[in-house]
Amino acid sequence: MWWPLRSAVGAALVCAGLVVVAAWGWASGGDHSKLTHFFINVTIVVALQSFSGNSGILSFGHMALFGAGAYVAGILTLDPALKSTYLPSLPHFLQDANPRWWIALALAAAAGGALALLSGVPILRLDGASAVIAILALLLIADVVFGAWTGVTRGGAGLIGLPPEVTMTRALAFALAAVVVARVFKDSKTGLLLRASREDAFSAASVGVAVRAYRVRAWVLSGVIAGAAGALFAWWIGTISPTDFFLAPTFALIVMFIVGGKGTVAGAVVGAALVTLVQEQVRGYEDSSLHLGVITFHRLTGLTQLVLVLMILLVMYARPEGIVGREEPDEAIVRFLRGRTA
Amino acid sequence: MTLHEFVQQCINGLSLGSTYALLSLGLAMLFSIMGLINFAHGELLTIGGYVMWTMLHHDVSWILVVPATLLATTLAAVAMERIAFRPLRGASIETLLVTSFALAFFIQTVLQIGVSAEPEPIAHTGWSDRGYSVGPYTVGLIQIITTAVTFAVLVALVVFLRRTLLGVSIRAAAEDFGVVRLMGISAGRVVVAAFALSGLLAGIAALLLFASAGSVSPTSGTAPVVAAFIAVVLGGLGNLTGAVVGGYVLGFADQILAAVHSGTILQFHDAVVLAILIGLLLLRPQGLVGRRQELA
Repeated sequence: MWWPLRSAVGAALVCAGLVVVAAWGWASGGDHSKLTHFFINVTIVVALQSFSGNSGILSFGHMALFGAGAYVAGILTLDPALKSTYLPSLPHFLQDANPRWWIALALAAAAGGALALLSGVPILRLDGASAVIAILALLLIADVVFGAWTGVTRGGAGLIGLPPEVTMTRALAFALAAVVVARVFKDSKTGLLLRASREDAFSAASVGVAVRAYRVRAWVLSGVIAGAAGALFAWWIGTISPTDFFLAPTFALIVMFIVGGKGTVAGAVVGAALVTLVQEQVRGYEDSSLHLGVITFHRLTGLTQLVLVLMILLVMYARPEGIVGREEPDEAIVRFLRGRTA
Repeated sequence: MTLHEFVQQCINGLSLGSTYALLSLGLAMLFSIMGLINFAHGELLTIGGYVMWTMLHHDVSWILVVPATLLATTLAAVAMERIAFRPLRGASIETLLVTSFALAFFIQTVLQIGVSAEPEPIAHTGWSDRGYSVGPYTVGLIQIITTAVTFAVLVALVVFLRRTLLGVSIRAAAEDFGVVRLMGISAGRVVVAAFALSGLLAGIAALLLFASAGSVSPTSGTAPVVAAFIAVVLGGLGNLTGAVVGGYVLGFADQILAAVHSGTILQFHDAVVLAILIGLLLLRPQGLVGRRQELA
């Protein structure tokens, strides 16, 4: 079978899982906000997986790409009447712009890709731990820009009243697309050589793999998906400010990526499911108080984060390769049917 | 910028760079020995800040605050090693990195829930605001103390690392841990000593930082330690001399650019500094002091 088709068929198992979740949402009716959040989380963590999972360089900078997409989509689709109040110094063509959602989303994805290209070429000259820290520096730069560029982003006050352009169906469509693209990329020549360089960068380079160029490709693809996910997020949450794209959400994203398993797209989806469950279920308790005998905690600020910390530490100590492990489920099934061991 | 301004900013940069150097040294030591990028290093700083806040809040004298803070951060660093990192000995760089990231958030959240998410005031002492005029320049007392203490610490550290068995073991472990163990040196002792030393350095940095910062919050440690990360990479990852050089370069760059920047660009100051430093790494990916390793 032609390999991209085989990969897409392989991804179908994960896609089927997502569709079942959505079908459960349609059947039970009511508010689909939480499931929409889940599909957005799937999209962004799959973006992270397509870079970090294949290249082996853990990225702390994806929230910069995600945030760029969110701000582009937010600024474009904000009601022009609100725009003239919130962002009076915006250039006229942006002031009057009010594109359809899918045009805004395409531009957000392009912005994510462009930022990735611009940052990836210099940053990915570095290797190993230096690259990790330089990517972290990208996150800091983005945070300063989101906060300080008040004429465009409204700074810490944030953009308020973004239109709810995202429905569960649209979020599902993008999650499915991201899963298929990431899986095909993983099995492509670039993905395969990149994974070889993850195991041993110097050996790969010595047999002619252009490690740096492949890393930049993965980073840009990842940026495009992250930008699109950012647009969906902006419309889902309705209000965006710089803290939505800084360290705390970065941590949540890393937890999703690690808990499920770094090497597989299926792992990313499983991680997104677990983290979304924690985010949506625990958040409600953050404002409540806790009485432990003589001690009373008045507010449980950061309880969600605490649960995520415990979750990731449990995985780090007990199963560092993540819940799903090293193989995609379809690969594991094929191996099982053929009667081979891993 | 006039020469006068330039010299004044260099004086400021020297003291800021000293703080970064103390932090980046601790980070570089752990990285070179066990491949750990310790995100939770900033939380040592924060813990030091909270110890200072608690004691100063109850009017304890500075003579007691200093040793108590140093003891607290050193013990906290050793506890981190014992509880979080020892079970992961020999794990990949990524596993250690993620664990330290999680540990940092754990400590922050515990402080948020246990104390408060809001900043707590640390009273300014009379001396921390005092300044002197030396010719046309102004030098704060805290700047003099910071620079002097850092230099003294660096000298003491060099003596320790060159003249004592434990110090030599640490330096050797930074080069090749396997060989050090073959020489009959206990790996556990070297790692614990490195953690204790990084905690002590963080404690000194906390004292110098929070004496003039005015407040401490659960996230106080994040910004300085991330700056120290940049300094470590700038100097050449895992290189102790490089860490100090990187810390000072970052301190000078920060202060000199702050004088050049004015108006709107001042808000983007931190971003500009970081972008320039990444640009520097483009020219020297191995860092200012590091050795070259080429990858296609």
